[in-house]
Amino acid sequence: MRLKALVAAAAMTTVLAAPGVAEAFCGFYVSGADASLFNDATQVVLMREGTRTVLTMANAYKGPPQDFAMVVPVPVVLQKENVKTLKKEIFGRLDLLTAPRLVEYWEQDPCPPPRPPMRGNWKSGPPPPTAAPAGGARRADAPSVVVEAQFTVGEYEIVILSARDATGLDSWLRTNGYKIPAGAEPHLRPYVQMGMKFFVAKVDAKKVTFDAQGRAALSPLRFHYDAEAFHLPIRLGMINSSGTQDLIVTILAPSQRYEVSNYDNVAIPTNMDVAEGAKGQFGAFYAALFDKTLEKRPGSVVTEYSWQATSCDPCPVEPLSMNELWTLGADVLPSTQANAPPSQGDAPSSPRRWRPPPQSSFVVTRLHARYGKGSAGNDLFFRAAPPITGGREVEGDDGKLENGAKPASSNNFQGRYAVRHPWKGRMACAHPQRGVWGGPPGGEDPKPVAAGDIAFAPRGTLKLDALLKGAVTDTMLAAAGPTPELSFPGAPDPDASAPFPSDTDAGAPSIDAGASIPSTPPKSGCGACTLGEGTGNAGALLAGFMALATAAARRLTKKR
Amino acid sequence: MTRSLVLVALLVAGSGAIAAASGCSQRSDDRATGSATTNASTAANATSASPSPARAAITTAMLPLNPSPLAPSHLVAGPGLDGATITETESCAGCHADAAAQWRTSAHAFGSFNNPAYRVVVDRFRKDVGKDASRFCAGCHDVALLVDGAMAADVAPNDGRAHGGITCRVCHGIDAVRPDGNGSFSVASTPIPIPRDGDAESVRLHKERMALAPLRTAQMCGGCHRAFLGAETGNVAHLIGQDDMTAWVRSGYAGNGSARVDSPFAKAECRNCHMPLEDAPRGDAAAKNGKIASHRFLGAHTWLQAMRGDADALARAKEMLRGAASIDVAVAVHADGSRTLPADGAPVKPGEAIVLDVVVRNQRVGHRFPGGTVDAQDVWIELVVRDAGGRVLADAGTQHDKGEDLTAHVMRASPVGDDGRPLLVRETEKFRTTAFDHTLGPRDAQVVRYRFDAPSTLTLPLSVTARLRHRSRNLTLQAATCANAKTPRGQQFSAAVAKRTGAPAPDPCILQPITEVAEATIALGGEIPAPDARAWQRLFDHALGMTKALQEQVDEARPSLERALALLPAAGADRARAMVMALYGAVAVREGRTDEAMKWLDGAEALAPKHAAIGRLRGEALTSVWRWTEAIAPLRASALAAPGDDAAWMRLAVAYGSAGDPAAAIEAAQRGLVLQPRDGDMLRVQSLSLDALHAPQSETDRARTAFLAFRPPDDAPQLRALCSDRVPGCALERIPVHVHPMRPAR
Repeated sequence: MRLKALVAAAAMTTVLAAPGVAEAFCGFYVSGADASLFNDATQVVLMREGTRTVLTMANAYKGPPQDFAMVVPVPVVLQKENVKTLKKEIFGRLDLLTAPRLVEYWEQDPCPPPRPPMRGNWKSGPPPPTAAPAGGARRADAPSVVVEAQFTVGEYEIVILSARDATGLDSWLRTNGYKIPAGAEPHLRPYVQMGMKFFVAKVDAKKVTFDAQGRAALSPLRFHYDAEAFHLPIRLGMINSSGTQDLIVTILAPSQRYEVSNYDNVAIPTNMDVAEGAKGQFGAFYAALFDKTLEKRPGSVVTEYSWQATSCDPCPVEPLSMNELWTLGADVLPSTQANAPPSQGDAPSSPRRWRPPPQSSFVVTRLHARYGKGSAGNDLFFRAAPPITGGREVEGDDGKLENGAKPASSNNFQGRYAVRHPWKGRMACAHPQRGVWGGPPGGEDPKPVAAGDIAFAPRGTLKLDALLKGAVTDTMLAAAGPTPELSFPGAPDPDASAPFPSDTDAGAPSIDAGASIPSTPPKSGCGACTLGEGTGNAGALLAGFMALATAAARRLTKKR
Repeated sequence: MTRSLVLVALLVAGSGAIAAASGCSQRSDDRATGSATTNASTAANATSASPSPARAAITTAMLPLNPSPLAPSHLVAGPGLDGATITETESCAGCHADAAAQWRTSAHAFGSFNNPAYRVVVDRFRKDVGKDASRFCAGCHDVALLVDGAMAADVAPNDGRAHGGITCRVCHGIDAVRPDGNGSFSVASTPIPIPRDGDAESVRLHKERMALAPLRTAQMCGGCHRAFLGAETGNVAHLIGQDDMTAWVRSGYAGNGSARVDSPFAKAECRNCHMPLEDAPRGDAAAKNGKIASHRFLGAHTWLQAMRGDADALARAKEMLRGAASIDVAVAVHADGSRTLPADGAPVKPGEAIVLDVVVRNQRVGHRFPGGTVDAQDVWIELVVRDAGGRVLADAGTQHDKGEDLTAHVMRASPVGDDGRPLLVRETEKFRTTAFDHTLGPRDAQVVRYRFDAPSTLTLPLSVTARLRHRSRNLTLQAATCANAKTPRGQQFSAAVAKRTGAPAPDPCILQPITEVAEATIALGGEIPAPDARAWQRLFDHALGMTKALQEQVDEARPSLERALALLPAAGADRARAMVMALYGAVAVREGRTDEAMKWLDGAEALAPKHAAIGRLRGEALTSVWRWTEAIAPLRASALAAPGDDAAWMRLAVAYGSAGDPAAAIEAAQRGLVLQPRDGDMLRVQSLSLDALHAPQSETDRARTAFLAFRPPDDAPQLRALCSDRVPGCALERIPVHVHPMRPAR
């Protein structure tokens, strides 16, 4: 982008009022018209292994039904083979799989013939993995032309601009009939100063279906790149939504849960019993619960799900298959690439090759942020996080269902809400066993209901207290604690030896307020030379080591 | 970048070259560490003061130039300078017997075709890329051949100019230096006044001529110890080559300590380490108190000294290497996630998988360790776990001395070619990008993780020994050199070298010496000793290494930092506390935790006021969340505190540009370009700023052309990805902190 052109275009109008541009996740929409373009909700799926990041995003566009383009700053010039479009269905499935779910339980006959209590497991495990396609080698042509790559796929005409072209971004867009309005320049300028590249996805309006509100769900776009940093540039997407915007980030990684490092993390209150009336309005119920949670812990990023990707319990939909993991990026992970058919000169069974991560090792984490119009939040920085559990039909040591998120040796956390039907029949035994929950008397398991389309759920009309059973809302929300962090038990109080920073800053960061981080650093430390008993959380750390080490161990068996 | 683009850049830039070469663009700012290769008015405008928006905006571009008619070399020879004169050293030796004797053992004396390792590379380069292009090499290796135009023809084994190396008359004739590299200096051809006994004036004139202004500066060394590749050297794109200068100039050794808050250490220039005072028993005329600055130019050239059979020189080189870097087994991470900090006495259970964090720190090398041609270096880590009876339970890297050991962590850079495959034998024209670089900057640290699977039965305590071992060049390069030496041409050169030196011909096929740079042993499974006074430092070093990890792993620096803080005495450890706090700040910066970073940095600043590193970290904390305007003040303070650090100016330039102040941005960028003329980031900011300032089109065009010529190639990420995809182990090595599995006992 030539700054002088952008500066010249800068006027007193603000981005929010500017026509012809709207912010999508980590990018913005432009069109040729003086019309308002909006992005209501964004879903992002990230797959991460080593330095490789595979990013898939699905945006919702709202604006006039004419051609427009999505412009996304990216850290590297993407090659054609780095970019794919995916079918929307996979996002739908992933959304349903990871979304908070409503289940129904029926109390079993308190006086049955003896049998073990039913504890979830309504669905069997995933089908066996299907054969994965081999990853192909990529070409490495040197960029030398104005447009690095241009190809049409689905509703998109993808144009990848090399750095040379990125400096002329605005003139390129104008030449192509798009407008960058005044006021956008300050937001774009740093990307240009830092040498970011630009990815332009031109959308053929004729290939997009608009609903009555002028909203169109665009096909998910996937691209991958290597970077030591792991963060999501959402700033552009936060500036100009039509109102409050939801961002749902799903991260898939071998043996690893993730959370954000620069906002507070909170696990959604889970294992709540709700009134039967929630069945018909579960989306609204969950939206109210989510909003209430953020009200209690403003600015937090909410963990809604963290589970092995290839299982679930209960399952609103089938868990992810290997083919779906492949579609979402496993095909370009280093471990799978290294196990692609050897190219010339490679030892086919080289010990340096990584073993592809087993299908079952993938952990899917779902993070949910919601921010207001005009907020100027910061990019999301991710960090590895220990496994957590919660939201299962599992009793703790106290005989009660587990509440909130707790450290565990593997990831099994979900937002789960239950409608329970107590036993109403006769109890003809001396010691009736109450509180054994399972399927309906008829034997047909109802499918859990997922809270889909949370961004568009009706808000502000539902009385949360009226639907929550057995406790007042605030009590329930007390379960919305911070997610366990990578901790090192036995730590001394750092304040004892250093006055900075203190743990006393209670103010949680707020995306809306533009504040950036929680003031309290992660708890860590080590009081003795040997540090405490493991909480299991660092087991994930070691699991990560093991994944790498196991892969690298193959190097031992044969020299290159 | 294309070849034509570079040519355009050079042609456009040509008009300013002569002025620069003649010294017109010398900086007047005493904070500068180099002179500018640029049009003079711009340089003066850009560098005479710190960025100040109140001054008239710069509207001229500062461009990287090559003033040399001997391009691709940047060397400018004085009129009439000839190879025979340059090669002649005996007249110098007549009065400077000690300097000459020392020099004859040096890598400088064997820097030309008389060095088999250089010859194999340059001969292949000349064959594959071209004789004219090989002037690029000659500007630093074969000045005598270069100035005679002899690089354009075959170089015969009996040509004395091919045996000259870097002679007295090269270094002592340099009268101007530019910051570019690739031989970016001018060599005077003025006659050398011969001193006469008892004639003080003749001695003065001789000294004046032989100790020209650049002689005792690091910048003079940087003229050759900074190299870059481009279209003129057969490369597809601009690429930094061996570059000891940049690492030094950004370090505390150069007085530019923006890298980190560190333990105090003395500033040092090249000559402090490579030319220490040495006895002059031969009565060298330049001796003072019986000593001269050593002309051995000691370095890590152990292979060269071994192939020459010079035991004394080899011993000196090995002695220099010992302790240059340290090694430590700093942290043990147990299967349950608990840690032992430091690792001494860490409990270990039968069958347990335990991760041992080995930390290497560059202790006293003022440039990267290993340095020089970092792609050819061969420094590696050995780790051995033994039980109480001395039985080896597991090891890693212990077979690397015999060849490539796939368990070894090797500290070298890995340039790759078009196919993403590493290039090991200095095929520089094929270098496209660097897949990974495991060498260490000055005072920097690196964490290397090893997984040890404890056997099911253990005899405790265990001992863990880590060794850092050095071999001058990788064995692939040695094999190529050895093979070349056996060719007829190789044998002719060997004979010529023997004849000229009166010593046996260098034998590159000998077993390369291996130097133990450092060693550390800890116990596992025994008593946990009380932490000693060094414990906090060990953990600081570990945390420092962890700050280089993938972003999602950086958090693992925190427990070491907390423990380090806890181990510090309550009083009398202000500097150490500031180091830890600043490093905490660095962790928070990488995690996007700006407010936390600021608090730690407040604490550090109270203990180490106005430290350049603190300003840098404050600036980075703010820029990471795009608070550009707020970031300017700390970044500016950092740049002013570390004025020779080009990266400090780059950071400031980007902040100014992002904040919408192009006038200040270009000023900062040009401050940095004076130091690093081909920095892609600063050239980009300059280009964007000139656009924004509505500079004359000729200037915007020139700036833009320069940016396009020297920006990082767009396909570099794809090439690195190819390495990951195709080359076993590459994906793992590209993870900054990765786990090497230990080899179980057989």
